Amino acid sequence: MSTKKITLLSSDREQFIVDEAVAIQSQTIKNLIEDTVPDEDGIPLPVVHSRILAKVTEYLTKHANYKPHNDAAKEELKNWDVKFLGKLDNNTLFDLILAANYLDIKGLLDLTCQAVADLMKGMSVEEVRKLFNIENDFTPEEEEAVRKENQWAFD
Amino acid sequence: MQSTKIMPSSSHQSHVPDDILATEILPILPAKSLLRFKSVCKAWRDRISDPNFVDKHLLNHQPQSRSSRGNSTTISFNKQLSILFVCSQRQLYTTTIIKSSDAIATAPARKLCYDQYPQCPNHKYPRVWGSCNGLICLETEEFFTSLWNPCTQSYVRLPYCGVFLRYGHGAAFGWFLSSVAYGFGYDVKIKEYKLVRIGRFEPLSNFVDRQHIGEVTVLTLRSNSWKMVSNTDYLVVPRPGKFFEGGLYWTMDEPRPDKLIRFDIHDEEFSEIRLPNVFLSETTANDCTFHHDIVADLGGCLGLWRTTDVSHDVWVLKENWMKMYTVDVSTHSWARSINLIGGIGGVIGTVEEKNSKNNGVEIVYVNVENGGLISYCPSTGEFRSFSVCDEGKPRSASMITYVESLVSPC
Repeated sequence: MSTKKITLLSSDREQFIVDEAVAIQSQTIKNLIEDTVPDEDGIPLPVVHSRILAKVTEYLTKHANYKPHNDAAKEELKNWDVKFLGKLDNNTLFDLILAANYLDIKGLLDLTCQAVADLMKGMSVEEVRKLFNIENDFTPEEEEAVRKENQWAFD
Repeated sequence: MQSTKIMPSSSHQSHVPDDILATEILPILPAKSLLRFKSVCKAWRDRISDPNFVDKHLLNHQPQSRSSRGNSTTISFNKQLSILFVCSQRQLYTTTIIKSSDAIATAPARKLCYDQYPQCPNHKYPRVWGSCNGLICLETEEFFTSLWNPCTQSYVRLPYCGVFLRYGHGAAFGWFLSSVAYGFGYDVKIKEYKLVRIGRFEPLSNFVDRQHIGEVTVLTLRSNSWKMVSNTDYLVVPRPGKFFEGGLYWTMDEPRPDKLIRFDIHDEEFSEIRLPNVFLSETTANDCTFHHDIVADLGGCLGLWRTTDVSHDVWVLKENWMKMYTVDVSTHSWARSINLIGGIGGVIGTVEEKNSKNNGVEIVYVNVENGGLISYCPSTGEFRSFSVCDEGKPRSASMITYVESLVSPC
């Protein structure tokens, strides 16, 4: 029995052909397959660029083919995830979060959010503002007061 | 976090949507990072102080999340373990054992200043009596306790706990309070913190028909008042009750040291748990004494460790008691400094450590001699010691493990 193939179409109209079992790990794609008549070019994913969809399908392919049954297999998959994340720059990581959220892939969302948390946890306040483009809306006095309350967290 | 302002940027820069940042990322950050990030902007400060956020953060930082435990037969271990030391020179220190990429390590010790914890009169030092959800119960003087969060440094003083004792049909004259044991826990069914005190009364004279009376009193945090629950015959060892899965556990004194007791935090009733049979049979046969203590959370199980003259061993309660490992004191010199007498030394918890060399866990001990920490890996037999502070060797008066949380005691 041949496995059913699904064609996914990125925002820049690049096609990605994957097994159905791979694609339906995304709850959004699963719903689209069930509820809509497919475009002849594939299932359109208008918010996911090909650069990101390539990463998403790489992740989904690994995780669909890999149902760990023992500790060693779980460990291998974990190591694969670490390597997968290691290759991403911050912009790609952020875009992956957006994609995982839109495509409703819980495993990928958890993985990428944990990566951002790991990135942030040792950062200074200034580095966090820069990372997320957040404007400091405290007056210097207010900021000093908040900082003083939690002084040990800055050591 | 609707009001976080995203500044327009000229070049393409990806960003994480505010709702994902607020609901998926911030709650998994350590408490220390979040306290620092309160200074990022007003929206972050308000978010991090929000009670719903605090609850969500706590849920992510429980030693084990209940859902992941399930029916699994494997033991899962903490990623980190925070410890508070109260030294007899009145200093309080905290440190955290963290699992980093290849090994476990201690975070630099933090010394707490006098204005960061509830003060005791007469220049005494507080005694620790329990910890739950990041809140620590400190006894500041006889009959007075406080709840304190060492991360946020906030605390609340609890009302005086007097003596309710009744004996027969009237007030119990002629009895004195000889010792107390507190336990602190959280009743999930009514979402309420409870502090339990078991007082032991002994008669002033010999002309009574019993040797002691135990009195159980409970304070519920929201009502902020103590009530007497029951009298009991149980003689608990006057050490902190260990809170684990809805129950407070104490070891027992003679004449029944072969059992633990569990006080259900919701039903407010006692039940008994038998210790492993070998505890009594071996010690009787070899004519040696043993000391044992409860470890509230040893990889998601109730843990127990025992020390005798020749060895110490660690047990976990699954369907039955199961021995994790034994350390022979004659071949492990480090184990000789681990001692339960005084109730301070001993096994305090576990930290997961998986690296290329081993596939196991580190069991963390407190070393009573110098208030330091020792970790031992049962699968490799290796041990490492960590000092907590550089200022000589402060003698620990008491210590307790806790989770770093943002929970407010007020």
